[in-house]
Amino acid sequence: MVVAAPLVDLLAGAAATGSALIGLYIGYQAYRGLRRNDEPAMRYLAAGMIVLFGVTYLLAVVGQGLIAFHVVTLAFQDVFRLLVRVLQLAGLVLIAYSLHLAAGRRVPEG
Amino acid sequence: MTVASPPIEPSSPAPPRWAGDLFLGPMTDPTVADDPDLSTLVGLFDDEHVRTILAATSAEPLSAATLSERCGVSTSAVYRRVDRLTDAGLLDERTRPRSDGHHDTVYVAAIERFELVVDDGDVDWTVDRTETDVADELTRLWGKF
Repeated sequence: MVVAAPLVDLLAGAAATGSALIGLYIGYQAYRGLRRNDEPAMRYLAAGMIVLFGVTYLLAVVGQGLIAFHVVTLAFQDVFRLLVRVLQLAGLVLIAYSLHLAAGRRVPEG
Repeated sequence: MTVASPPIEPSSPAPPRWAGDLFLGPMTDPTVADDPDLSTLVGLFDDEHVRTILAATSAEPLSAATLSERCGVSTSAVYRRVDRLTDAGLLDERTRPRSDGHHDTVYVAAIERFELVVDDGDVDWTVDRTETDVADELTRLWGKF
């Protein structure tokens, strides 16, 4: 945490929280789409959005908290960073798979 | 109960959807659509099976075959009612893709409230239509990519 720029930190945190909330909102709507329309592609879209935005955000917040309160050493920062990146990749893979499912089930015209 | 004939294809397929619906709203704005005649509406509501169809499709999209089971009448009797409801704008028709490449036609209730107002020497009525659900739009849009 850079103490010299608290405003920048605050704004970055607010933007990250906003992204997480909107990502989770889209994931929630995808989940509702799954329930309402029995569309399996929406399962992976929902899971992907939740991993990509919700889980990574939670992990980043928890990681920052653990480091800030000296529960773990600063060296763990890279571990958390790696985990977040891996989860981002996993979320995107889920969304790509969902897209593939949706395209495969597309109704031919006519 | 009579043995139902093989599922009949509905007479009119659902209108094609386009991605712009999500951003610009449906091309036909439900708020400016003319309400059907009061006699048409009351005639529809007077039918027990019509009420069953509206109630069932307000919870989840259902096919004519499922509706015929719920109402305990033949599919052709369901299609007669579904056509009248669709014409009156009280029911929406949608397609649901199946894994074998075909699709099912399903129906969704489009009415949320019917109000009759008697006031100042006038009788007026309004039909509040269901707003399109964001989750359904997302599902449709995602399938179109």
